[in-house]
Formats: sequence, C-alpha cells, structure tokens
Amino acid sequence: MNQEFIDSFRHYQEYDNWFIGFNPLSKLNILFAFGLSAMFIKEWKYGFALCLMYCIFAILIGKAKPFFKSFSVLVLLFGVFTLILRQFSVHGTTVLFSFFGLFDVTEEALINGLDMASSLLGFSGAIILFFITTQMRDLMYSLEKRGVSHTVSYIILASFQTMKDLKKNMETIMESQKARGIETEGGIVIRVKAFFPILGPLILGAISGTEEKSIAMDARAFSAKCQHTFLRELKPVPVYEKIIVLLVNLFFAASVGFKIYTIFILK
Amino acid sequence: MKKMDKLALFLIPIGVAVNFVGAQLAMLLKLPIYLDAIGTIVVGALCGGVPGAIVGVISNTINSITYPTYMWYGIISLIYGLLAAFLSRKKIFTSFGKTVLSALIFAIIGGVMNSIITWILFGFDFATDVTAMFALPLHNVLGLSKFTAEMIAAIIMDVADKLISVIAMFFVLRSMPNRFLTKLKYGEVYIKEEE
Repeated sequence: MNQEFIDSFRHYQEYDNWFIGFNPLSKLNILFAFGLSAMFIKEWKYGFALCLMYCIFAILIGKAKPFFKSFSVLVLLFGVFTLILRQFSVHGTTVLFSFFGLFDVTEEALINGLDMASSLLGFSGAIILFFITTQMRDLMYSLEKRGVSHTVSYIILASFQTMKDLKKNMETIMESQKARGIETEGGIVIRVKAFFPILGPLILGAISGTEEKSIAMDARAFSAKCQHTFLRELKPVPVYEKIIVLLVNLFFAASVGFKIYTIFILK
Repeated sequence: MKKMDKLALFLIPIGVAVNFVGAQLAMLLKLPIYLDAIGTIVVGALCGGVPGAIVGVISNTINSITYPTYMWYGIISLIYGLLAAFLSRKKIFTSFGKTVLSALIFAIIGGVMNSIITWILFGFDFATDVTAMFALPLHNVLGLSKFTAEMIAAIIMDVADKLISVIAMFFVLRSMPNRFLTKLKYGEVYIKEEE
C-alpha cells in the first residue's frame, strides 16, 4: 500500500476516466466555449440541446450524481423561475392559455423565458461540468506550467482549505456563544445581533494566525526564487486533445459569426 | 503581485474564507441578505486595494462553482476591494458614523453595477433572484422602466447588506491588536493611542 502510494508519484498522474484525464486548461477551453456559445446564440432549442448533452455526458463519465445535484438547483432558479418571471415582465399578445381568467400565459413571454433560461443553463452546465471533473490542484499546476506565479496557486488552494477551517471554527464559536446565552433564533433583530459575536471572534482568530503562518511558510522556502518542482505531474497534452480543442474553438467562432449574421445581415 | 506585502498575501485566503463563511452564517441565521463581502472590505481596508480586489475576484470565482453566473459579477467585488482601501486611506472607517454612511456608497455603487450586469446578462430584463420581487412591482405598479426598477431594487437590497458588513468590519478593525496593525499597509490608521 505504501509502496503503491510512493510509486504513484514516480509517473504522470493517471485518471481512469478519459475526459477527467484531459488537461485542465483543455477542459476549461472546451467547456467555456460551449457555455459561451449558449449565451451568444440564445436560442432555446440550441440551449436545451446543449443541456441535454451535458446531462448525457455527465452520466457517461460517471459524474451524474454531483452534476445533477448542482444542476437541478439551477434548473429551478434559472429555468422555472425565469419562465414564471418573464410572464410578468414580458407583455405578449398571443395568449396560449389563461389561469382562471385572471392571468394570461403568452407565447412571446414563454419564448423569451425559454431563450433566457436555456442560455443561462447552457452556460452554467458547462461551468459545473468543469468544476466536477477538475481538481483545483491540477488546474493550478497547469496554470503554473503556463507561467502563473506559485503565489497565485497558494492563494487559491489555501482559500479552499481556509474556507473548510473557518467553517468548522464558525460552528464551534456558534455553539459556544449559544452556550453563553446568545440567542440565534427569533425575530430578525435578534438574529442580526447574533451575527456579530459569531463573526467577530472568527475573523480575529483567523487573522491572528497569519503571522505564524507567514513564518512557517518562509521556513519552508515559500519565497525561494529558484525553479519550483512538483510532487504530482500531469501528462503533456496529446495531439488528439489539441485537435478537439481547436475544433471546439472553431465551432465557437462559427456560433459567434452566426449570431452576428442573424443580427446585422438578416435584419 | 511581486511587491505585495507577505502578510497581505496570507490574509487573502482568510478574506476569501470570511466572505464564504459570512454568507453561510447569514444563511444559518436565516437572514434575508448575502453578507458575502465582509472579507473583501476588511482586507481592502487593512492591506490596500490590490489585495482587497483579489479577495473579491477569487470569492466570486469560487462562488461560481455553485452559481456560475456569479462569475460575471466579479467586477463589483473588485470595486468593493478598491473602494474599501480608498475609504480606509481617507480614515472614514475610524468613526462609527462615517462607517455607517459608507454603507450607502457601497450599496449605490454595488446596486448600479449589479443592475447593469444583470441587464446585459439576463437579456435586458429582470434578474431571476430576490431583487425581481422588488423590481416587478416598481415596474408594473409604479410604471418605472425595467432598468430603473431593477436598479432601485438592487440598491435597496444592498443597503441592508452593506450596512451590516461595514459595521462588522468596523468592530473587527477596532478590536485588532496594535502589534498586528503596524505591519499592515493601512494598519496605522487604526492604531489605538492608549497602549
């Protein structure tokens, strides 16, 4: 077991899934291009087809559970809520049906809502797919290889760790303050008042530890100016991956061109 | 980035985490506001505009893992960081009264920027969040234009949010030990004389 663990650092990091094994920057490029294309085209048929593609893709790469967990919340927020809201904000004339004669559902508002919802979901799905298939340390490794400073990597990776640590501290402080008799339930004023005695010690405690961290990091050569090495390395980007990225980018450029054509030439 | 104070560098992740935890705490206490900019304002006020702006942008990027559209609002957080540093340099945060008034500046800038981004992002119409609940009646009943209604709603929502944020920041700055303040860019503004 230990030998296996040690050996895992002797070669490039391996992933048992072909898409997860893609270079993080390739994944970022591919998914961002698809996501932005949904925002540019803003056509519900395209947007929802893209969303369906994300769903099938998430199932195929074995990430269905985390994908649907995040995406379903957005479907409710950007999908259902947008459709309802647009019925109030867009005043159409073609009535599709009426709710008890009180409220009319119009075609114009429905199409507007569908276009909007599909473009937001088409963008959001791509970003969610990126984050569930990419480890942050792999992304930062790829960025560092492209010349981004290691301090940026530290800031991003430490932010995630500090978020976990502070969340734990917050729960402890909240319980302690409750034990001291601070009310956290009741009217809005009581709840707002509870906010300060919990957040105050949390921030001050976290800040006071920075000095020690600064010394500890320097003792570990954080500021050393020499070339940095990496414990985990990712495989170089293969040619087929570069071709996929290029094709997706061409598709994105075509979608932008199509949008410009429909706006300026068809009208 | 190269010239950034090392202590400021280590405070950035804390600022990001405070933004996140502040929002979580607001949710736990069932407060109808976000409170997700406290870290940005504290770091901006203590360490300067660049670290504050970095905290803001990173926080928005991390939030976009769950709500991808937050990414586009990162520019507002960046401005909050710069604004906090500017107000700190002008010694606004040394007086409670001025600090409370500064919430209005944050809210107006945030509200206006928010509505402009929303206007573009949501296809020149209302956003699909809580602001729409305020914006819709302003548009349908009072007859304000959609953009104006969205902007007023965003500012109103932001006033309460930023008021609590700057008050929290004020007490944090007041409670920090002089020994630590001396090492930060704008720390000397908050050094207490009795010690």
